[in-house]
Amino acid sequence: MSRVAGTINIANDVLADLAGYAALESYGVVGMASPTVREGVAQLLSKDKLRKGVKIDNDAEGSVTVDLYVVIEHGTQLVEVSHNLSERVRYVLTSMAEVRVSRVDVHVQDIRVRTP
Amino acid sequence: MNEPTGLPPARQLITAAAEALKAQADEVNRLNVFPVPDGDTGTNMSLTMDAVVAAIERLGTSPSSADTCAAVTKGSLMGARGNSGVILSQILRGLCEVIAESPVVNAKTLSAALERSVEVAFQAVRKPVEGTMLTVLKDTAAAARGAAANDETVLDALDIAATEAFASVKRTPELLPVLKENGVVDAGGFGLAILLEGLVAAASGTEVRVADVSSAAAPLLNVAPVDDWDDAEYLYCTEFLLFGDGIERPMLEQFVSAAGGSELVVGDSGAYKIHVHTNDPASVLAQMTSLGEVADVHVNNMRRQQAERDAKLKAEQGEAAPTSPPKPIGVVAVASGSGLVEILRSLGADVIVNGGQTMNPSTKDIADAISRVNAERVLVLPNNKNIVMAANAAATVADRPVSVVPTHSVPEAFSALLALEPEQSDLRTAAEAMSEAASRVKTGEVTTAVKRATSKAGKIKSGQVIGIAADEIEVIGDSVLTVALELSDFLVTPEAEMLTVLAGADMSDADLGEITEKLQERHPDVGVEALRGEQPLYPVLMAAE
Repeated sequence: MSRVAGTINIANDVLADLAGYAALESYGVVGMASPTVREGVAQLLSKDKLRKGVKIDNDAEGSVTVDLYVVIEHGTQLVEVSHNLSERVRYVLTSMAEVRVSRVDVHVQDIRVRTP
Repeated sequence: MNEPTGLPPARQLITAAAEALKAQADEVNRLNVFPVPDGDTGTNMSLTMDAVVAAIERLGTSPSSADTCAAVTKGSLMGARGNSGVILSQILRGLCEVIAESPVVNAKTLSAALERSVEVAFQAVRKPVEGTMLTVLKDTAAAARGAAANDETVLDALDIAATEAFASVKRTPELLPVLKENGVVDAGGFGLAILLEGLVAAASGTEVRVADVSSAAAPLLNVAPVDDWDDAEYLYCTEFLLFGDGIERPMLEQFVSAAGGSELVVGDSGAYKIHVHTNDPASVLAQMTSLGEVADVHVNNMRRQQAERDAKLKAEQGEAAPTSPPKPIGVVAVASGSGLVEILRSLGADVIVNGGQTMNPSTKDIADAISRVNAERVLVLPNNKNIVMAANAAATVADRPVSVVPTHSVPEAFSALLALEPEQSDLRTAAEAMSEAASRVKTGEVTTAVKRATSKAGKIKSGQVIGIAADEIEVIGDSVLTVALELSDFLVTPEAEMLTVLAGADMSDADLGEITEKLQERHPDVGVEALRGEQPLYPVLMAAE
């Protein structure tokens, strides 16, 4: 009612950053990884390159699909951690950017074994 | 696990801790603030512990310490449910790593084990959030370290650790703003504290004492139920229960989200509640009946329902015929409850917006109401502190001069309306006179607490009856009658001449009669008047002036 007319466009890179930060706060996820695994080793991405571990695509219905490339802590239930992760990412994208998320695919690129 | 002298076997301790958590699971669930992730922390943690208990029950009699530890680690890993369950599994893994290798369990072992838990649990997250289960774990480990340094017995050290866990839970709202905003403490941390307390109780043979961790800021009233029958995209709001073993939640969620919008899947293995907006409820139900048993199906046509509701609202509001000449000043008031609406109308309110404490109308609702008043100028009576803002916003977008009289309750509106002179045409003069009249009214509300909380009048348990005057909880009790009587003392001042009692929708005429009679006995100098307000949630509203 009292809002100014206009549209809001949020770049997919911004959504990717939001998803990346949400992932890092998600329990069991120790980092984002690049979608391409070189020489069998997934690279942990540094905090300013998180978006490289996230792919955001727009689907025909105007919602987005999210692909997350992650490294998960060894010794955690991978499926449960991934499930929690996709819920959290969807929650953050829906509540912060009000985009509709039609699916979230989690790609576990590596597991990190705890350093003693 | 090596049994420390005088302590029950590990199996018994773990089972007792799991039972203590299970008993409080609903309480823990109620603390959840995120609507989506980890919706049922208490249930998730409890199910994770069930898996642990099942794993140790599969061991033979008197298993070795290493075997028990391995079973706990494996059981919690495989059985981890939800975020809190995964964290719990890491905590248990850390504890077991140390205990499995210790010949005796003393305070130093406990401290070392908790230290390892902290390490293991924090390693699995890149950006730990303060004010969560992890913070509670860290504080607990620190307390155990202190106890070990003081050469406490293992039982005392455990007790100290559990006490600190509850204290830490209580501090979580200071660390995590979303908790504070919702007036709750961290659910996962609370679950952890309950587990520790369960261990202490079983080890010392005492009752489980769950410390009161409710924060002083706890809001008492439930927030508005989501009114989401406003989905242009889909036609049917479909809701049902689904029962069946082996139905996986992710699969359900995927299916439901593909079927429509506003989807919500609540529940866990075997029993789910599903809510979805869709254009094809038949195919949703067909799919679901192939998965398991479906019950309590509700399919509502949102478009028709909305139209019916609008029509009903219009009829209730009985708008003035547009052919009559406009009044100099018209009035829009916010209220819910047929009795209150009728009284407001009889006192001269032109359009009533449905709403109140638990259902704040939007700026648009109020603005629409203003546009329907057949008057040159309009006064708005929001009748609730939380609606004043929306009313002010509506005033700025209205198509004619509007002034808001910031009434905080419906009884204030009654007095304000009585102060409005029919021929008055100056908006400001009228608003001032009405504010003046409203400010002389003291309103009291009697309702039921939906959450534990601490108030000016002391601690409140969920389900207790509370009496509110001037936004403060002044009276706590177990019956509407006694609370209403005590609350009246806060309202009836020596200058008061009149006490009005408005009965809520759920109160019988007989109860109203009894309350009125007792109030008259208690305050012989004022006139007590009983009316039916039919308002929801508040069995009694009282106003003295």
